[in-house]
Amino acid sequence: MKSTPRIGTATDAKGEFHLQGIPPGKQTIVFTFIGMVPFEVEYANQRDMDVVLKEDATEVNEVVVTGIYSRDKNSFAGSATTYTGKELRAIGTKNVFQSLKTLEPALTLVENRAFGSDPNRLPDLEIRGKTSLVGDLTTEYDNTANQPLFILDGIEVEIAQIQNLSMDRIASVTVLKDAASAAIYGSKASNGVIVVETVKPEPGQLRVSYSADLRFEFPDLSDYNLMNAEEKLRYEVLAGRYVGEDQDQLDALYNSRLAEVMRGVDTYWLSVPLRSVLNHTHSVYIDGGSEAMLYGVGLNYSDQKGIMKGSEKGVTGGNINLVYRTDKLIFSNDFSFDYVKSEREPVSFSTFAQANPYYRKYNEDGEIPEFLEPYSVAQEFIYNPLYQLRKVVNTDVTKDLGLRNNFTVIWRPVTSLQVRGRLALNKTISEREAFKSPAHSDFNGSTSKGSYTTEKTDLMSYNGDLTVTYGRLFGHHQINAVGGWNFSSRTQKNTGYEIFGFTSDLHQNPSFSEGFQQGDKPSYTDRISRSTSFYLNGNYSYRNRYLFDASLRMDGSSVFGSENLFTTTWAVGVGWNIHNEAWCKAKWLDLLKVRFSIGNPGNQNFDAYTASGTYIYNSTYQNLFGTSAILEKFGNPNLKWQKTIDKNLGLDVDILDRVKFSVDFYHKNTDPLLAQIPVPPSLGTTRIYTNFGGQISKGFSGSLNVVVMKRQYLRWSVNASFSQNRSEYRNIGDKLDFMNEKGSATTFKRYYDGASPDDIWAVRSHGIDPSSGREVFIRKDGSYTFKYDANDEVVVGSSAPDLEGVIGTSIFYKGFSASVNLRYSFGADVFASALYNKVENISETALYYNLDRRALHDRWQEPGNRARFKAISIDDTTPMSSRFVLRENYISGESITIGYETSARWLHVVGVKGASFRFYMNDIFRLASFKEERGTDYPFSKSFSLSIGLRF
Amino acid sequence: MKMTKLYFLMALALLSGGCKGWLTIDSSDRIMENALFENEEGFFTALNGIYAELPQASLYGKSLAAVTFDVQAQYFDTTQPSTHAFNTLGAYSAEARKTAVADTWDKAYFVIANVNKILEHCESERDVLSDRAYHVIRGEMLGMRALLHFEVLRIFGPIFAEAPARVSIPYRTSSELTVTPLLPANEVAEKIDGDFTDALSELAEWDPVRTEGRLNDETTGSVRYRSRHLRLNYFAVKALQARLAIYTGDRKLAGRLAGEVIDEAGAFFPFASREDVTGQTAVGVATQNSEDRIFSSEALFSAVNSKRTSDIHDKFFSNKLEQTNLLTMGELAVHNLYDSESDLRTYQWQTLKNTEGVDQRFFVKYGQVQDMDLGYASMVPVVRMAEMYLIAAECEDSKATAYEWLNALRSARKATSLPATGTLANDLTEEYIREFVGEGQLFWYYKRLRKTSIRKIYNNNGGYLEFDPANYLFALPEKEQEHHK
Repeated sequence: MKSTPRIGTATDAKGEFHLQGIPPGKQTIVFTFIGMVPFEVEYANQRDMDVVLKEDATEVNEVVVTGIYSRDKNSFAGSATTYTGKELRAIGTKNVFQSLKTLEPALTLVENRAFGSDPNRLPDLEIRGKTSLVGDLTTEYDNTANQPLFILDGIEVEIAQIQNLSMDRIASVTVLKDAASAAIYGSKASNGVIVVETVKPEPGQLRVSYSADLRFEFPDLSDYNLMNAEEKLRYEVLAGRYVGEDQDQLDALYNSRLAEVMRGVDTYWLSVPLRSVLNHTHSVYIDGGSEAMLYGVGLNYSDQKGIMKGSEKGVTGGNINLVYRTDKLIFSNDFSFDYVKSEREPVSFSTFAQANPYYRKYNEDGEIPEFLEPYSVAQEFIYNPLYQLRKVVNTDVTKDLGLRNNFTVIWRPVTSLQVRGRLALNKTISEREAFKSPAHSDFNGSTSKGSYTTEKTDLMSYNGDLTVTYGRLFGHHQINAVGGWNFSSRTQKNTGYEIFGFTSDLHQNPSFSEGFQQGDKPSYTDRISRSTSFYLNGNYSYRNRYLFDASLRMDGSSVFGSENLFTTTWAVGVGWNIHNEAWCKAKWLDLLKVRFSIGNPGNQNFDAYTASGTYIYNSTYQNLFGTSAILEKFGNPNLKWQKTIDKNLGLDVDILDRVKFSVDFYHKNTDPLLAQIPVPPSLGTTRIYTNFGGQISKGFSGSLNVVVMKRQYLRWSVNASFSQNRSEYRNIGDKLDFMNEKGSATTFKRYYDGASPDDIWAVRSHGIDPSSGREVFIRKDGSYTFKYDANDEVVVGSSAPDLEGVIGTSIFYKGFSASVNLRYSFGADVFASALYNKVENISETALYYNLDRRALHDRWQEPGNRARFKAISIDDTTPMSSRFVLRENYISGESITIGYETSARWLHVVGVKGASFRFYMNDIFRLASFKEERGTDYPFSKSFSLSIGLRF
Repeated sequence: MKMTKLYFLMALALLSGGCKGWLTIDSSDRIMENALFENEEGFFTALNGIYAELPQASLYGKSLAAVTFDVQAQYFDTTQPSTHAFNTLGAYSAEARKTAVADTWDKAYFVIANVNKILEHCESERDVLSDRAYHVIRGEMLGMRALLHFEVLRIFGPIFAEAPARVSIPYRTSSELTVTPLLPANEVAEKIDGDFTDALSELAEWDPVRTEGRLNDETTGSVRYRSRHLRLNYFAVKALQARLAIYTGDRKLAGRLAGEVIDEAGAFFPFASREDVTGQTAVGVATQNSEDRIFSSEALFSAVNSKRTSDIHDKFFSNKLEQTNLLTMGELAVHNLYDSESDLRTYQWQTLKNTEGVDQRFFVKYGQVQDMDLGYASMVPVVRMAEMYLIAAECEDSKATAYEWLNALRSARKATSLPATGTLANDLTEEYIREFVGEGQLFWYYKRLRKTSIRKIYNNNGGYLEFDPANYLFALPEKEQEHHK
């Protein structure tokens, strides 16, 4: 009601509405909707009203939400993309990252070949490749050095908080990719930023929405190719396992195993610890209220069992949003809590993959034996993984409780000015308890058996900011400005201890243990870190044709030991909306924009900024002279921050609302790099942080969406996204030559100017000589030799794909919708380490475990064999050669979904206003040009799921 | 717009000044380097940090004192059972020798880097130090730098008699993180000697040990300049310089220095008496629980290990250990070790019930001493007076005088005097064997003399082991080597 804004309502899913309490007399009713032009209707006591809103041409699309300010995408010069919660839910419901990677070509979810579908692992994310070195030159900690920054409702959070967030609570996710869009986050932004906004209550009558998600997940073992019992035994004979000093004993061992094989024992151990699981997620959200007072209450529960027995993650969460509005002030408070309980599988999958197939799971009595083979036969303890799984108590449970409260006040003294103050509190308590039974195989031979470990983390952080936003149109000049100040403090306390010596599984209580092992102490650390920053962003556009955007940010942080507390970052972006030019007559052109940005975002994911050394007080050996302190970290006053000059050139095209195309070319120059390199221990330390050379990352990413068919009820579109990233080192000189020398024949990474971090270095191989079973190498000059020489190393491949992305199609017909999204990757080479370690290079110890079938069948056995792998009898180590570098092209069924939405009349009978059903198949197939074991520690899975959404 | 930005920047500059205090954070367990060296107290905290590092297993907790090189000197029986934890080291397997010394390299150079830091701050923050603190800290740290380099050189360096100029180890005199080249062994020895000499000149005037001795009586107030036998004092440095001299073959210098130490320090570091060794001095009556089995009064410098019993005794020598982990020698071998029943060094052995309830001889030098207040309960000797007598004897040209030195030591040990008609070299070797059980010195005695046949001390039936001199040499750790190609 234009005169009395307090009187209002919202439509239901079908667009129907009721408005009550209209004052007498002539009134004006205003209809608004995001992306639509507000529409006014004169009210003169009519009973029915039919209103059709028109799309707002100037706000064709979305706004860019940076977490600090929002901008109309059309006038924004940076590279950023926003996805709505609905779009994400249409891809999958597992977690936000799984869906986001399908939609956003610049985002890579680095596949972890070891940990497969483990629900308790955090994903490794990258936006536009790496700017920092990882791997040999860094510590484990730094492996997050390429991770983007995560912002949840304006507050920086850990990746786990986003992963555990219920998909139903997500309103939008924005990926900030280039300097101009991310610069507002300054020294932490060089890896890009992911901004997540949660659903906010909307005015209207009380609305209840409920959604449930049922997911059927089952293991994918198709990449495994292990020997059966007969093959394994045959292999062992060929490899000389049963010839040795104590021939009688070895004969007995062989005969015992042979007897088992003859009896038909052939255990498929892989499936033993696995299960198919039905996981479910529920979420309820209630919201409503008047314009002045809004409320929203949500509750969600999710149970994610892993496909390995004993691994599970349960998330329970809730939130309460309250908003109070007056003319000029808006107060809002969001409170949320999360309770996460994670249990880890008791026995690693690799233990089962190693078990030999000629062992039985059960003995004659149907019991599970503790050892797979009697000690008298094997002369060693061969633990039965099934016994370890079933009969032994081995638990590892972590419970996290997180509480978060955001309080925001917005003051709008005039329409063009907004002042916002925000205060966020975050408290997380995490407790891990792990018990290992005295019968656990880890305690073989030790006197103090059984252990109990506990770790507790107590985290308290507060975060506040004050932002002033100004935006006004002066004739043809649009000006936006944002200035602000932010501060945050974080206190983390970690305590923990490990005790040993339990008598049985019955008494897991730590008070039943023998206590600490000699010299052990409880651990206790207390860390405070604080940071503050000032930022400024200005945006100017002329007739929405010429766009200019500039940001400046000054970051101060309390990195312990640092002398330079502040660092400054900047970014500038320009854009040109060609379609808005007066001379542009192409009416069919809805959007044609060219943009360019440059900036120097920083990377603070390092623990290295120590201009001054630090000493740690020493309490291990006390003496009568009192306190003592020893160097903990060497200072390096000459160390420079790692900065990246990030350039981006982008093009956006939109034709008749049917063809949308967007592409970005980027060039990131990180100079100097900061990396940890090994130094001779005679310096007093084994690794130091150092600046050297630089790294260039360049590439492109883009997406195309074409609406092929558009009828009244039908809409069919196809989409494709693509990306490519290339990196190379610059100005390294000979600083890392010793690494190259050390790595020859054992690793495939080398460090030279112009070389790429993705390159795979090895000596070229001409295959296996059919007459001798030995490998023939190719020298640098092209001649053949049997002799391996590290000097013949060349680049034999690149692990970076030539092109990767997603292709898909979607179709909407009335309430029905269906979509298929397939991931493709072409041109990447991989070093097949499973082949290298499980087909050749089988060490004496590896021979005791089950092996890849190809070790038996594809190896050279007699003259004339054209084999891929060298003779079984040659047991000297195989140096890394191009033979193990393979091209991996693949297509995988990332997401296939069918959905139906309805607000049919029959639903009203049960009180439901609208319902949606969606069926998903995620990662259902994978066609690859070469097959290798994936998921060595935790297998990959395939899943079907069904989600149901109901609105009451 | 431009002006607004300018104002904003000015406001930023102002605010950031105020934020500096908020961003500076204290830590309960750590301190920044420049804050530590702000006052004299901090210097002594850092100094004590060096001494508190010495009892680590890779230094005097295991490697450089009780275990690693005494196993290689064939003191202990590691042949039985065949699964003995030190079986491979006792048999000089390449892998075992490599792992046995790898940590020592890292740790020694880590402590050296810390020493260099202190020495550098002594100059840059000279004004916060009193003259005495400056000279004593500098003296002790120069001595420490030399001692640790010397320990590393003995392991990784060549046999001086054979190849004195062979490339050996780097000599670190700065904490800067740049690679230092490997130097020929004789150059390293010169540098070590130079540091010892500088240390002596720093300490000569300022170390109270020269006038007041050990200063180990209980006292209230500052202990900074007390308990000199637990600090690298003037006499300890001189004794170590003598050890270096004889190791590199400079017998004349070694003899002179050893003689000086005996002359000057004899009164302050007297030989242990029977009463000391039996524990009578400590508690009034002779008691096994208070035996001073390390002869603490004559230790010129010791590392302080407050967990000596659990770190050393319980791990390697205790009667509660299974035979696979136990270091000891045969019953008869212990008996044969000493040529006099009355030898005080026999107190370093006890007959106790082993884990199977059978009587066995155990090495109890580092065993529990009941009253932990007794200073020697936590001491691990690094250099003792006895070595000075042995060096003096070895460097003496006159055989008669040489036997006088040797018999002086033997009489202090309550062992019968040896006739001057014997073979001095053999008698010295036997005395080295008796004197340094569990102190890691014998192996280096063998190395400098390039012995190719060494005694199987542990063996009840005696006998000798043919020794390949290559086993005196240890390859540099790979992580070090790869940077020196």
